[in-house]
Amino acid sequence: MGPSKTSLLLALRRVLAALVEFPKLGVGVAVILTLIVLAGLASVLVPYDPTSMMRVPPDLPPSSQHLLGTDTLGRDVAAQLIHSIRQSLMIGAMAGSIGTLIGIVVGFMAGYKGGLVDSGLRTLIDVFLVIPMWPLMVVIASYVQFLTVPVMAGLLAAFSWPWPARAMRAQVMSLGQREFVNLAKLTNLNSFEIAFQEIMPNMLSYIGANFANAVAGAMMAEVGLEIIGLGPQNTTTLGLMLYWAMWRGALVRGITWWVFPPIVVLISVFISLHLINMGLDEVYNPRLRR
Amino acid sequence: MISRAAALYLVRRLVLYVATFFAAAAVNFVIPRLIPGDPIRTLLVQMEQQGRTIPGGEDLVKIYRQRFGLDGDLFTQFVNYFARLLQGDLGFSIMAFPSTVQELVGKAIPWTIGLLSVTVLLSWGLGNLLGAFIGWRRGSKVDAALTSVCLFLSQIPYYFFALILIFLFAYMLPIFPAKGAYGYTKIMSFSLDFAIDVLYHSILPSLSILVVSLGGWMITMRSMIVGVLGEDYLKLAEAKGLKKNKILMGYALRNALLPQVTGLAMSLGFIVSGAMLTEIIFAYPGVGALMYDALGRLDYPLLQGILLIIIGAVLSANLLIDFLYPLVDPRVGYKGG
Amino acid sequence: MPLLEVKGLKAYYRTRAGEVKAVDGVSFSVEPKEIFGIAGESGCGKSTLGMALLRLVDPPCYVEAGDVLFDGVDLLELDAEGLRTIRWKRFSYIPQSSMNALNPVARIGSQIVDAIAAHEHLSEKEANKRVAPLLKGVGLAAECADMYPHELSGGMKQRAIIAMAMALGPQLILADEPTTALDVNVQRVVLQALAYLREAMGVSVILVTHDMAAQAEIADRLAIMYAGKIVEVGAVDDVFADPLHPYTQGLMSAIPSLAEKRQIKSIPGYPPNLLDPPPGCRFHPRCPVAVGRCREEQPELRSEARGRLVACHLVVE
Repeated sequence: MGPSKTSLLLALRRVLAALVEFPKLGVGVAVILTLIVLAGLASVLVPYDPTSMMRVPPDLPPSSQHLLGTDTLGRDVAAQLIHSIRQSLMIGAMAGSIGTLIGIVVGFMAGYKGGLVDSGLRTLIDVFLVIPMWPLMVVIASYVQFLTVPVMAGLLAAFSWPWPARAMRAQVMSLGQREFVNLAKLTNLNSFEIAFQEIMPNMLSYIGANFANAVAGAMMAEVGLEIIGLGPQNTTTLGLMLYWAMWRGALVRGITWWVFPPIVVLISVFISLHLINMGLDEVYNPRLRR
Repeated sequence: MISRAAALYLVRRLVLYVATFFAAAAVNFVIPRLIPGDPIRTLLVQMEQQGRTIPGGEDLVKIYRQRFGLDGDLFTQFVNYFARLLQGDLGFSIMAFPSTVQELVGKAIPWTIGLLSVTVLLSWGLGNLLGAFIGWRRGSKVDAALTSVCLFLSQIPYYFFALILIFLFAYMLPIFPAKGAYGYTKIMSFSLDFAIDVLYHSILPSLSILVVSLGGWMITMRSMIVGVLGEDYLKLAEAKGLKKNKILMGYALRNALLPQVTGLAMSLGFIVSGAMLTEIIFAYPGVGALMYDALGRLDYPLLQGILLIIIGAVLSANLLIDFLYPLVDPRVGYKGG
Repeated sequence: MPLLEVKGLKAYYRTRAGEVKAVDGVSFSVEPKEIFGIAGESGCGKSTLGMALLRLVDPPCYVEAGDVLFDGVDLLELDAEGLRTIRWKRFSYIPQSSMNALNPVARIGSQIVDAIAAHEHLSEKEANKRVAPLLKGVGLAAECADMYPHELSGGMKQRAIIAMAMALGPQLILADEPTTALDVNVQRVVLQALAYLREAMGVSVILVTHDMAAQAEIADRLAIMYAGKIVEVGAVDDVFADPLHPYTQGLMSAIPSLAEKRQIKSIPGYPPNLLDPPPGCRFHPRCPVAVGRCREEQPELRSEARGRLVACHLVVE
């Protein structure tokens, strides 16, 4: 019990030191963690269904009773916001994870195997990268009958794998030529072992950067669909809040407290994920550090 | 003028784009056939239940079936589909029957292209110039300040920025219109009056895209310039006694621009996606707004038609950039393209 | 009056661990119409010395002290514009690695025209006319002007750069390892081009290279550099035939000879750490004839009777 506890503490200290040494990473992680904690406490802070209408008087500006006011449909905005953060983050995290996972595997295969496998996969990746995603997703989503959280995450993941795949392929191709991989080949390890024991440990922060990027991309795509109403139908997300607000002309009528909180949260998420991306890139590539 | 290697590279890219387009068209063909049931009939039934009928609705179902549906075996359908596609026939729109999809898209697309072409080129060009000047003066206070601002701006989706701009400049300070490409009372004409009105209405939409994009290009160009700073040819240029501006523009910028051109081609899909959403916010009559309307009415032929045309447009733009690329980078084709 | 006079030049690299004294008090002079060689092992500071002369050193390297008098004008004191006008027009440079020294997206011809246009008011047409003869002068076809760097071989690139260096008819050219990474045939062409510059155009060349064969072939006078300091200077034949400084003696005996069969002796030990050089004479830890004084006092570069300069306590008595 003793040794494992201290090594955990040591790892924690090292992580904290890294967060301080790389301020971009630190700030990004701090903001995202705060949002995650908030999301995790959603059921505690708001133990009722925030989307049930007319629980409270509509269109009230922010006050001590309603920190972010109420919307036109008689719902507390702050309560909605907390639950929306949770749903949006969940969709983004799911889509980002699946997308990154697929992307890593595809990119790795392409970079490591080379030859025909690489040509084929690279063409596939290029095709996905060229085509504009939003109109394509709108068409697909319009055909889907029941848009739930997992379905959305799946749809988003299907389009967020090309970027990690491309990046991974480039990295594997550049690393594959480095000496240690050749040495490992000489020592008779099979491809799989080479992959995991030699290449992967070097790439953890790079994979992390790609993951942050994938989540950001997934969430941007998510909002792009939700803001026109193509969101999970049984729950509330940040994009859907904006959809309802615009549908009810909130901006025109000056109900700004309904429109701007989701926007502010989303912008914070995008910027923080981008900061994490840049920070992890700095960790991975010392030449980028100031 | 273009080397053989470069020509081969272009042919490979052309083949890729044509293949992609046909793949997209094929997917377009497949999707409606994967959905159980007949969306057209379902829609008709829904509308009948609401007390609305489309005159000749049954004929429409027959025509739709004939065009996209189940008459003839799958192979015949496939052939017919592509035959019509090559003639530019994308079928009828449901919500605006008897207008065809081509007609509707044809009316909307000039607005989108007009808005995007100017905005994208301006933001890319200005962003690169700014990024070059900032990167050259790396470490200065201007650099730190401007980079932070642009970092912040570049992560905001165009349509969020649109909402902020509308709030600030259409409601708080009502200087600009919040909707439309031209005033309600104006008639489309080639007059100066109309042109000015169009320009006036395009300012907020273009700004939403321009400012955010510009931030992004500035940041990437800055890091490209910084990457080029350590190169030997810059040192020799300095030793040659060239003026600083000449070194920046002729040697540093010219080399740093290459990945930016590629980057532009890769970002087009993203830019178009964002622009379409921005159009919706501004009720700007481009393909984005059209798609939104089509979505609301579940006008599948129109939805798919818009998608196909947009894919075609983006692929064409990519092809154009690919053609221009060997002109900026003489090494193309030698290093495997 | 010498064309170039260097007095007490110091160029240090400021690092977190301290100052790396790459060039530590170097003085020499170059006469008009002569090829002045600077030779030494890798890491002795000769490349930094060359760059410092033209003020091309980048942070963390800084020129800490000294004078570089070019035709009487101190290059280190000049303002940016003054330096720019002298650069290339009167004092040009052939860089160490020509592989990447040419702008990859510009044609050879236009890069030469750039250099010309930066210093003379010529129309583009007139400047272009000067390119072909320059290229011919180094044995390149006139068509090369329309080519891009990646279309040329290493040797051709190097020669193009020499042509570029000659474009404005400078008085002095710094050639930094011009023969490294080239095959012997091209090396010969390059050296012949440099010799031709001195003969036909009266240009002086500072030839910085560890390639002793190249020095022997075209240099008039030779300076030997060790650990940031010059230890011996003299006419090239004299230095080769009768090396005075123990380091030079070691260098010469490490060169294989075609004339006689003898054993090649290398100098034991390693070059010193320039962050914390040994006290006294920098060579004393490896010197076969070092005495007590060598450990305490740094020898100055002094004139020796036979027209040479040596920095050794045991030679100049």
